Amino acid sequence: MAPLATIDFSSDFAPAAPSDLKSVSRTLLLCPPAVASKPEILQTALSTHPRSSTDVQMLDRIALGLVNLPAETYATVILLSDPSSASSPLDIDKSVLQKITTSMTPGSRWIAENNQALRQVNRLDIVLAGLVVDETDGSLSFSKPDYGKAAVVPLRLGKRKEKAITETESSSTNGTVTGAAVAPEKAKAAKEYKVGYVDLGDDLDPDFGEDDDDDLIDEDTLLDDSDLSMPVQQPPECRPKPGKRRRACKDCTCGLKEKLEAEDKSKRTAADAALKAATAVKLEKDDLAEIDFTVEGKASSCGNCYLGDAFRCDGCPYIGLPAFKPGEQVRIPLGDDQL
Amino acid sequence: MEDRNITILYASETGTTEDYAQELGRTLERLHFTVRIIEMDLFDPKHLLSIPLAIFMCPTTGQGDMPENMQKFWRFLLRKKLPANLLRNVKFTSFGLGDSTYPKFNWAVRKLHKRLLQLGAQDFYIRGEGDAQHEEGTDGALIPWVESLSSKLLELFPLPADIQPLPSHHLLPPKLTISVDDTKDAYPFTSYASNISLNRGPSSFVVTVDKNDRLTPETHFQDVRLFNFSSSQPLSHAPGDALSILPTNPETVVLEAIEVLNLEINPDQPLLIHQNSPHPILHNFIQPLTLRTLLTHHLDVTAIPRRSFFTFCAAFTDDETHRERLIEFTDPKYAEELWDYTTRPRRSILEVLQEFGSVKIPLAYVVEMIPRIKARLFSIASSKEGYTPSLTSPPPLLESSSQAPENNHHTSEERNVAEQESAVKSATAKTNKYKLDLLIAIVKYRTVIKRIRRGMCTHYLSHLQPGDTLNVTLTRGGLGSSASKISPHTPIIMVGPGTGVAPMRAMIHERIHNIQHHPSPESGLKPGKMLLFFGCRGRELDYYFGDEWSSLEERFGRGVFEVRTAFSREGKEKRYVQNLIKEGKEEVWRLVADLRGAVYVCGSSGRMPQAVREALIEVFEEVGGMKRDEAEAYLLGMEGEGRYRQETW
Repeated sequence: MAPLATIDFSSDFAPAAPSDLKSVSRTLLLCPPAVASKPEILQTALSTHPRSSTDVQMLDRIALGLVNLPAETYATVILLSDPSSASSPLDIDKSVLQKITTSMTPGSRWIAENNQALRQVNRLDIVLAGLVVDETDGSLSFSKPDYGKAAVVPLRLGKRKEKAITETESSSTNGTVTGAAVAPEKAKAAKEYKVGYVDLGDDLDPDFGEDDDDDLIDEDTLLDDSDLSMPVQQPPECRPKPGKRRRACKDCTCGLKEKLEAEDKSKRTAADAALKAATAVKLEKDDLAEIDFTVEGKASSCGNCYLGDAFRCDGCPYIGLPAFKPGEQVRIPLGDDQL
Repeated sequence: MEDRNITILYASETGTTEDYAQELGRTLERLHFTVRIIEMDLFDPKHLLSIPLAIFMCPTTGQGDMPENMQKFWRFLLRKKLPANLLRNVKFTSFGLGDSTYPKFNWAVRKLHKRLLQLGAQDFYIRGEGDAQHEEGTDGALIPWVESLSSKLLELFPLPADIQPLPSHHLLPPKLTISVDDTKDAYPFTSYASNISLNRGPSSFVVTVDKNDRLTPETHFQDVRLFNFSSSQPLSHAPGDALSILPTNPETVVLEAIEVLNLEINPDQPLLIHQNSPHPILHNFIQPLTLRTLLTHHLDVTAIPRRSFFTFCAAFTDDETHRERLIEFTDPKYAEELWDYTTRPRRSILEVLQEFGSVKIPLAYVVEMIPRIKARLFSIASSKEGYTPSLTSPPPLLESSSQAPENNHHTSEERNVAEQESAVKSATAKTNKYKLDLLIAIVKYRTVIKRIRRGMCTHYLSHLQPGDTLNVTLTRGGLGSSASKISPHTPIIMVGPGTGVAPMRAMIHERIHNIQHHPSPESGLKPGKMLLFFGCRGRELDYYFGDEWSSLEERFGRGVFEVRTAFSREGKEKRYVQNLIKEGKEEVWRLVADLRGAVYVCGSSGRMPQAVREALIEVFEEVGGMKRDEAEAYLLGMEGEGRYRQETW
């Protein structure tokens, strides 16, 4: 597996730009880690493919589970390679092959700009992933068979099918969001339902009360090892930055939490002492402490103290006390008991 | 502009995710999207086919489980017969709210995301995962995720050249309008506001407070309470499960809020509410609805304000100094300042509004800006089968079975239950039959702010009086399923210092009940040993249930139940539960390795769980003769088998 350091976060979130129109055949350019260091290879490849219908993915990011390929999307998959290092072995593991296969439309092809690159892929793995190896006139490609034509078509009574379609359509016409732009697509989808589609009338019934657990997939099987060992998806923006003051985690065990608390406590004690010296203040056990801000003295040197903590300077004796009006006597509820 | 519609589907156990969903919704509205925000279980899955763009937000509960209010939706998605291209027209992304101290961190969102992909939906943007442990909490991952999501959406759905995204302090129209209902009379007394409770859905039930006793001496700094609740309906909790409690604001806070908000309306005049969106931000209003009931039951005015709160405030002041400062707080550049001002000292919304006295929020926005009061979860400290209000007094069952050992236990047990029941009924017809206990530390602390900080919910609980009623729900806990599945012959080691002993007590009660009621003399198998490691400050200070543990040891023998204690403030050296584990290493190893026992760790998060892990690893090394890496792997293996469970808070 390629080292993590090769991950390019900047080009991140452009994966699988979903096709708005299914009819446009999409192309997937697969970059091995070696190509990452040679942007010109990618540039050349991109210049011959329209960007709007082409996605670029790094093989190592697919392997790490950092990107998900959309299902049945690509009519063409092109493996890029670095001609200057043609001999370097290219190890695409089975799970990646499976993901790529899933992303290919039935009848689609996987080719390479350089025939040599595809030869480095284990053919047995290719076959196990469900692809067919084609080698004609010395050019190698893998294709995904179109089994769709031979699909089993469940028998349904015509009446029910019609009902299902009407329901889908009515749900889109009185549905709140479906816009005109999506309508043709909906119509197409509805049409497709006629061919062996589940009958939506029953299966999309929101009342699941009767559901038998046997009819549900076991959610524990959904995540495989690669999903679970997947690194926490942490955008680069939220990694600790140099110069930024650390805050304690909720579950702090390193002592930072205690350090911050001690800081706050000493700040509080210092402020109490300063306040006592500056004003006629009684911060005793009483329910209410009275602070007489009318007393002359160091009540405010910056003139902002009365505005409240949001405006007070560091070390202000009034820190932690409410805002007040200058010259006003303030009663501060301190709570009904001591800690 | 073409249609720009986004649906945000969320699941929320306590209301937190819902707040985040609302905030995301506002961000997307500023990008000129029409946003619908719906709780997953209130969303008809059929409509998934007609939403082109969806964002899913969900927290993970318990051991990687889906939250309660997306179970219906989730069961729909899990149906085997759904075709693999069902959602081919749906583009989506998802954000999970998790806590990385749990091993199954954000599993719920990972499962949801994966299943949506399986059903043919396309993720137009990378999944995000928030972590409560992040120094900025969920925001740490959410804020950058939302920023990049916004750019991605603007790229996929570009705005015409003459239309710009609205700035973040742009005030959006209110989601609802509220007016005073002049056709009705104001309530003459304020008591109506506290005698009502919010409907919490079909799975909620009412419990009555039987007892609210302080267990620690008045002189001890910590106020820890044992609550006895009772219900007229049978309860269905297992050890490790938690009770979800929705607190209300005390009258003092409500009065202060009425003063600070300064809305100039009669707080007891009924209000009329009109939702401006078909998907209301609050769908479950208290009745009758007045400003006083809103503040008592809905609005968490003592919560720490989030950044969006300042965004709203800036729009509602004429004071330039105030406005400038408020806008500064909303700027990500000044995140440190905001944190120092709000989170670090735990400053409340009311305190901010008191300080920014020029901010005058219209009533409709008050409801939108102030987060809802959220339910809190508390581990249940009793078991439903073996509820024995006082294990210290010998229960009649034991006496009878020891006097007549040849008796069939079941018969004597049934007879005794019947006797007890009739006795209870004759004593007080109104006494509820089903009972449960909570052990709760009342949260109180100081920050740089002079006024004492209090945990909102524990403050509410501490003022409950016998006879008060609460609307509660049950939540599956991290220990729940495994504890009930485990065989009564398997030894268990429980590490539960402080109030972490609560779910342990539930486990102990359940097993003692099973020993009493389902003895298996034929098989000759003895019940597995329960070894409790308990730590606290002092025997006379906070040794919860100490008498109960001694009497269990006496009655059943230490082969069945044993407690070992560490009192950190007694003796020269501070001793903790991890020291107990090391001191008892031979037995720990025997129970864990030879008898394949299970280990449960509960209590406050922080150093304790780590120290306990370390102590166990050292036991495996020292007694089991393992190398360090083998010992670590052994502990991980136990975790995988469900033989090591941890629940911390």
